[in-house]
Amino acid sequence: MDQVRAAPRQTPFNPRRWTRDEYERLVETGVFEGEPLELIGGQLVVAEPQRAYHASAISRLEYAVRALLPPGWIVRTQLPIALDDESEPEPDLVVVPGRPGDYQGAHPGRAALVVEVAESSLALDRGHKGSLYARAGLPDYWIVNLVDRVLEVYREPAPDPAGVFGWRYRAVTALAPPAVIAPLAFPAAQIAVEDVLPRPP
Amino acid sequence: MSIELMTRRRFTVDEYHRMSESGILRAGDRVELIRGDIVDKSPIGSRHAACVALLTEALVARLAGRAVIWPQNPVALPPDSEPQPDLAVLRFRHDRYGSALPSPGDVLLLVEVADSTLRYDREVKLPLYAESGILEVWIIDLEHDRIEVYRSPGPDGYRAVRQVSRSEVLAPEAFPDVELSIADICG
Repeated sequence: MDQVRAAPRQTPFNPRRWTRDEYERLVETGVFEGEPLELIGGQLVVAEPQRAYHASAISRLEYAVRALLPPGWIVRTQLPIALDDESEPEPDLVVVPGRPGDYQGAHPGRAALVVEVAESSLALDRGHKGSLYARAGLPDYWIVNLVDRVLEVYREPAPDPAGVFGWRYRAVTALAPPAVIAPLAFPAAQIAVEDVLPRPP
Repeated sequence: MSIELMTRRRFTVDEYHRMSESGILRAGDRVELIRGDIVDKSPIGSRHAACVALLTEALVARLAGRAVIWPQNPVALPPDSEPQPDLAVLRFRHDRYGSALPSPGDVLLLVEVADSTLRYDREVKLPLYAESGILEVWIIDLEHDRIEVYRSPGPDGYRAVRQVSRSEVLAPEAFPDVELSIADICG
């Protein structure tokens, strides 16, 4: 409570927190009609509008990752994951077990790899999403950092009271071309950092 | 927890009502819609509850047939707010606003009882009430045993503000004959 009081510009009220179940029922009522939204730690947040550069980077990333996956794994881009009881984010890319057409009854909950492409959302992707994904125990989180043209790799989730959601990744690496990287779950799938970083327009 | 980097999805009054109708917001949920945010209300403490009860009794006794006394009920502040003040005194209507929630022009006095919520009442709700043109607001400050009286609303807030302490009496601007003391209100 004292921390809340000390924080400047803190909103002096508690916005209602939504559970994932409530959020999915809200979506079913059609209130949102395809609006880009995410449920992040109980808060219903508006996703940033995407520039073409950002969209193109996701496409490039998808192409690079998909080409290297073994059978039994699929790539989903900008689709929901059932992360925890109060979170249903839509990461730019996830690798989940299964085959195309799976997850008809429920969104996947676990991802072997989760990637965000960050331009204006860099601070949010590092701080909020990073802490949220670490809390959910996602083992391998990448940020395609378009601002600094590096690929940030986050691993080893661990509790940390300073994290927005009480967790963070302990191992953080920033890779620039000509580095190569393999997802933790697929050591043989070597991806050139160059291939996932678009050239600035 | 700060989520200031993120933009919360705001709701319209219509969306807010659809959530109630579809059962996503339940009858027992203590929430109000403030500038599009669905806000969780603090639990009401016993002193707060007693204060609302005393004030309700005092106003009903003095204003029966002249005004509608509206405790813990919603008030519509278009386009994106529907607060639930501790009490409102409304223009008298035989149907008791059964066909539509009262709007700002119907509210003669609005009262918030503040215990832990003083900052929220002053910084969030009061400016909203002023912009909406609510004629008069009382904030009953339980901690300091006094009442803040706000009159003359405008887009920049209330232009007339005064504090009433235990030794004084006050009356709603709309009903100058209804004089109340803090003892009448807070016990």
